[in-house]
Amino acid sequence: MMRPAAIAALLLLAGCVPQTHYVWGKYDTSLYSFYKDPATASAYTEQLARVVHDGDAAGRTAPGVHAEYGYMLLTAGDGGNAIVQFEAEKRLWPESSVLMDRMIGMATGKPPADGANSQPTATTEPATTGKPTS
Amino acid sequence: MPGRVVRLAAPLVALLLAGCIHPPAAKDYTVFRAADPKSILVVPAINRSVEVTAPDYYLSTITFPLAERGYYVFPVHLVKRVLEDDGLSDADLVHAGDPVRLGSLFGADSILYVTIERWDSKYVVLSTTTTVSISYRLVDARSGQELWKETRTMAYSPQASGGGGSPAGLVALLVVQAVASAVEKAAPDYMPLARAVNNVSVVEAHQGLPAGPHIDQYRKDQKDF
Repeated sequence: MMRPAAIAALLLLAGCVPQTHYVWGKYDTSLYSFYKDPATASAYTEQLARVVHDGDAAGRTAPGVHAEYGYMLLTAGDGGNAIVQFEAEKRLWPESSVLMDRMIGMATGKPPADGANSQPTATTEPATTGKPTS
Repeated sequence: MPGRVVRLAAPLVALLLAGCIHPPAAKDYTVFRAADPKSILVVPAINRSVEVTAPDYYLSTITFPLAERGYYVFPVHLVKRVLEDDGLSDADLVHAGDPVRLGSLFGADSILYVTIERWDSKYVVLSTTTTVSISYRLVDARSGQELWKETRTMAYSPQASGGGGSPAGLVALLVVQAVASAVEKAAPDYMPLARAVNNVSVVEAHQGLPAGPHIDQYRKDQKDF
């Protein structure tokens, strides 16, 4: 519900550097709103679409935003466009390759709720790994 | 006297002061420099406050400062959901688990474990004080070694601005102050505090994180870290 002017004022008050490396838009406030009220999922997804678009246009896309956008598309049942976003994240940020390959696999295969895709990683069960080793 | 101090300190000043009161001893970055992490996996925070919503709300604040510091930050919401799908929705279990195994699941260089120590708002006399306290622990996901740790607390009390020196002005100020405190108590706004705690913790020289590989200062800030 915050107006841009209010956000700008807050940023100035907080002493934040006005120039950021990446384009963030309303990424943080919309994620906060989404956690506060899960019914705002579509508003959060829309904001992510905007952040991704504006970031790409400026050549300053923030890390993670393509992936977060892809994940929201995936949960909304749009696996095809989710893959496009996961691929974009991987291309921009090679550090994300392992996770993005897994997400692409999830999007091409069965829906995440199915649980079939989490089988290969189920080795992290707390019963066997919860002990403080090392 | 506390009343006088509080009246002088606008919220901004209070934040700045809170950020400055910190042990000045410089940290040793030898292990950090050798590990040279390029990506950070932030896992859901352990919550030691009574606000059950704190970990989720907090999660929305941590990507920005780490990414702007030059690191690849894994998508926090996606990571949270993937962990949940893997049966790892309990933050305490995730924090207690093997960092090397967790890191390999996501292809991460390092893992940031956050503990929310305080996230509360307390009303005393005419003033409400909202406090956020965060502990951070960055661990190398290849060796399991601890790379960095920090604990930082910030608090603020909403203040009525202005107010004259006359008794009538003081009464008016106290009334406005009481209203401001009641509003804060009813709906404390933790987010600016959480962001400020993160920002200061990450960027402060000799205390925070050295610049990561995606910004120009990378490997050029040895004198500060």
